[in-house]
Amino acid sequence: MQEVLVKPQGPCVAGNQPLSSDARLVQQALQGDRTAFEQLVRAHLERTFHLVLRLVGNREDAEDVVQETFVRAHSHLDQFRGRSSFTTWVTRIAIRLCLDLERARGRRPAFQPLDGDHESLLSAPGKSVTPPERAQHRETLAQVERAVATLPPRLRAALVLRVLQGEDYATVAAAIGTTVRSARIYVSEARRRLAELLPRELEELGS
Amino acid sequence: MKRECRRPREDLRRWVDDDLPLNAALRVEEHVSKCTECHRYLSTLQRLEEHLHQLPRPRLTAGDQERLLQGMRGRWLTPAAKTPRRRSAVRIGWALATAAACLLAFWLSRDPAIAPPREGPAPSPLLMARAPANRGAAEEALEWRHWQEQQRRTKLEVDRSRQRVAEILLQLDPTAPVAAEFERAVLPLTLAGAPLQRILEHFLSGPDDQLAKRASQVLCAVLPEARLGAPVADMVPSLERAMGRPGRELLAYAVLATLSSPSAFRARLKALEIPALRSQAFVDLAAALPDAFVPAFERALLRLTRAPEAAERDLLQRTLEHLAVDTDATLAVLASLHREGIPQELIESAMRRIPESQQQALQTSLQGLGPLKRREALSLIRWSHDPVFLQPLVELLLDEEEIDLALQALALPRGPGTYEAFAELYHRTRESRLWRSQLASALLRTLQDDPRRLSHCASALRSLETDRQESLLSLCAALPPGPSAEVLWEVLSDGSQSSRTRTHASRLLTDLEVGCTQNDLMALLQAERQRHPAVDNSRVLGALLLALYQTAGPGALQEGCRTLGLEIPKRQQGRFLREVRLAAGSEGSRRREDPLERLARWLSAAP
Repeated sequence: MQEVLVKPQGPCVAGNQPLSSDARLVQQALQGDRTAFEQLVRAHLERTFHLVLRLVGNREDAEDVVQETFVRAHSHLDQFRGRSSFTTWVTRIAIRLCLDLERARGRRPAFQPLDGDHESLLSAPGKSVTPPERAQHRETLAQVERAVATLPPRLRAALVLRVLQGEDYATVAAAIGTTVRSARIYVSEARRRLAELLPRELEELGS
Repeated sequence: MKRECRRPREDLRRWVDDDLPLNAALRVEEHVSKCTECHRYLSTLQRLEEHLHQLPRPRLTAGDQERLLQGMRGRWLTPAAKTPRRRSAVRIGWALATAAACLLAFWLSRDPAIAPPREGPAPSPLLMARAPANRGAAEEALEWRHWQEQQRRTKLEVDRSRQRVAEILLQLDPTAPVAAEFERAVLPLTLAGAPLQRILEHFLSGPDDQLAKRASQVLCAVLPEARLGAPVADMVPSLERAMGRPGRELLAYAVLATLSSPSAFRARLKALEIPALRSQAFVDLAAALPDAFVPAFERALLRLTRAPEAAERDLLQRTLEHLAVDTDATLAVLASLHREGIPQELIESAMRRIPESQQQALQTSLQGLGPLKRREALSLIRWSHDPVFLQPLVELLLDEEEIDLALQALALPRGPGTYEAFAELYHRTRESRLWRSQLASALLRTLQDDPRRLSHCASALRSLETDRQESLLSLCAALPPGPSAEVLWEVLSDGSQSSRTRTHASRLLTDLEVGCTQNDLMALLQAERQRHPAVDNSRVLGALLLALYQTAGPGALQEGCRTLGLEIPKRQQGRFLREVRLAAGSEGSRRREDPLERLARWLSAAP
C-alpha cells in the first residue's frame, strides 16, 4: 500500500517525532500564553545579545535591537512555520534589524571596545603572565575587534555566527538569507580580510 | 603571493575552519609543508582564529535581562487572533467570496449582441403565424439566420479584401518606400474597415513565399507606428507562431524586431532557441535589450559558454562584440560570464565600448547592486582601460573600503586619472603606514610602466587641489631617487603649478637625495628666474640653491647665484654661506625660525 506523506503545517513537527522545547513553547505562545514566550526570550536572549553586540558594536544599540527583535518575533509568531529552528528565525530577524540600523546611521558600526570576560589563554591556570603582556594582549584583542567591526555587515554576520557562535553553515546561510555556498564564501572572505588587516599584530603577539 | 598559492590559501581558510574534504586537506597540507609563505599565512590564520575565540563576551546580568524583558512586555501584542488555522480559514473564505462575486459580475455583464444566437432549426413562416406560443423560438431562429447571413457576407468581404491586398502587395515596387505606396493603395479598404493587419498576418504565414516576403516588408514599415489601426501587441502571438513555421522564421522575426513592447521582446528571446534565428537574435538582443529581460538573456549566454562546439563559441564572441554595456544589468552579465571563465579579451573589448556619457549612470546604478555583484562589476570596470572611469571607480572602492581592489584597479589604466586616483588614495589612507608603502610601490610600478608618465603626472597635478597635489608629491617622496626626481623635476619645471606646490616640491628636492644633477638644477634655476616678477618664488629659489649646494658644493652655489643675477657684496658673502649651511642642516641653529624661510627672506631682500 502506498504510504501517504503529509506535509507538516506550522511549528509542530512531522510524524511521530516529539516536539522540541522551543516548538512546544511557540505553540503555547500562539495560544496566548505569554509566560511561554517569555521562556523563549529568556532562552535566546543572551545568545542573540552577543550576536547583535558584535554586529552593531556598542551595548546601547545592541539592547535596543535585541528588544526590537523579540517584539517583532512576538508580533509575527504566527508566520513562524517551523522550517528552521526558532533560534535561526530569531537570528534572522536580529540580523535584518542590525543591517537596517547600520544603513540608517551610515556605513560602519559605532564601535566601542567591549568589556567582558576574556576567554584568554593568558588567564589560563598555571600560566604566569606579566602585566605588560596582559596589556599587550588586550590591545591586540581590541585591534582584532576593531578589524572585525570594519568588515562589511554580511561578512561580519557570517563570521560571528560561524566562528564566535559555532553555528554550522546551513544555519549561517539560513540566518543571513543566502545559500550554504555563499555563506562559506562570506566566512572565507572575512578571514582573508582580517588576515590581511592584522598580520603585524598577529605576528607580534605570536613572537 | 605566488599564483600557485592562490588556491591553497582559499583552502587554508577552510582548513582552519575544519570545513575541507579529506583529499583537499591532504593536498593543502602537502603544499604548506613545501611553501614557506603559505606556512606563514597558515600561522597567521591560526592566530587570528585563536584571537577571535578570545574576544570578550560581555555578560547580560540577571538585572539586565529583567530590564530588557520589562521593556519588551509593554510592546507585546496579543497574538490571540493570529493562529494560522484561523487565518487560513478566513483567507479561504475571502477567496471564495471574491470568486463568486467575479462569476456573478461576469454573468450579469454578458452582452447578448456579441455572442452568436443559439443554433436551432429555422421554423417556417406558417408555423410562426399559427402558433403564438412558439413565437419566442421563431424569433430566435430568425435572429440566428440573420447572423449566419452576416457572417457569410463578412467572409466574402474579407476574401475580396484579401484578394485585393494580395494584388496590391504583388504590384508594390520593392525599390520605392513600401509603407507610403501600400497605404495609398489600400485606402479604400481602410475606409471600408477591412482587417488589414489580420490579412497581412495571414499572408505572412501563408504558403505563398512572395506574398509572405512583401507582407513582412509592409508590416516592418507600418507596424512600429501602429498605422494599421489595430493594437500592435495583438499581433505578437501570431508572429510568434509564424516564427515557428519553416521558411517563415526570418520574416516573422524581422517584424518582431521592429516592435518594442515587452511581449515582442519575450517572443524574441524565444528566437534564441530556434536554430534558423538564434545567431541573429543573439546579436540583435545584445545590442539593445531592456533590463527586465537581461536575466533570461544571461542564462542563454551562459548556456553558450558551456557548449563545447566552436560555432557556439564564435556566436558568443559575436554577441559580446555587439553587447551594449550601458547598464548595471549588462555589467552583471559580463561579471557572470567572467565567472564562467570566458576569455578575458572578450570581456575587455566589451568593457572598452562603455560610452563616456554612461559613466555617471553606471556609477549610480552600481550603487543599486548587491555587494557581491558590485564587487564583480567593479572589477570589470577596470578592464575598460579608460582612465575616465578610474576616478569614480576608486571613489566607489574607497567608499566600499575595498582598498586592495582600488590598488588593483590602478594597475591597469594609464593617464592623468591614474595619478589623481593615487593622490586621492593617499589622502584617504595616509594614516596607515601599511597602505602608504603599498601605494608607493604601486605608484612606482605605474611610473615604470607608463611611457608618458611625466605628462600624465603633470596634467594630474595641474588639475588637483592643493592638498591633493601635496598628497601626490608626498607619495612621490617615498619613491626611490630616480622616479621621484623625475616627478619633482616635472613639477618644478612646469610654470602652471602653484607657488605652494612648487615650494613643497623643492623642499622635497632638498630633503631627499633624489639624484638631480647640477645641470638639472641649473636649468630649474633658469626657469624660476624667468618667472613673472610678481610671483614670489624666493622659497623655491632658496630650496634650489640649497639643493645645488648639497649636490655640488660651494662652487656650484656661486654659479647658481650668478645665474640668478645675485650680486652678493663681498662683506655679505660669509653670512650668506652661513645661512645656506644652516638651511642645509650642516650647522646647528638656536633660532626657532625655519632656516629655509630665513634664506628665502634673505634672497628676496638681496639686490
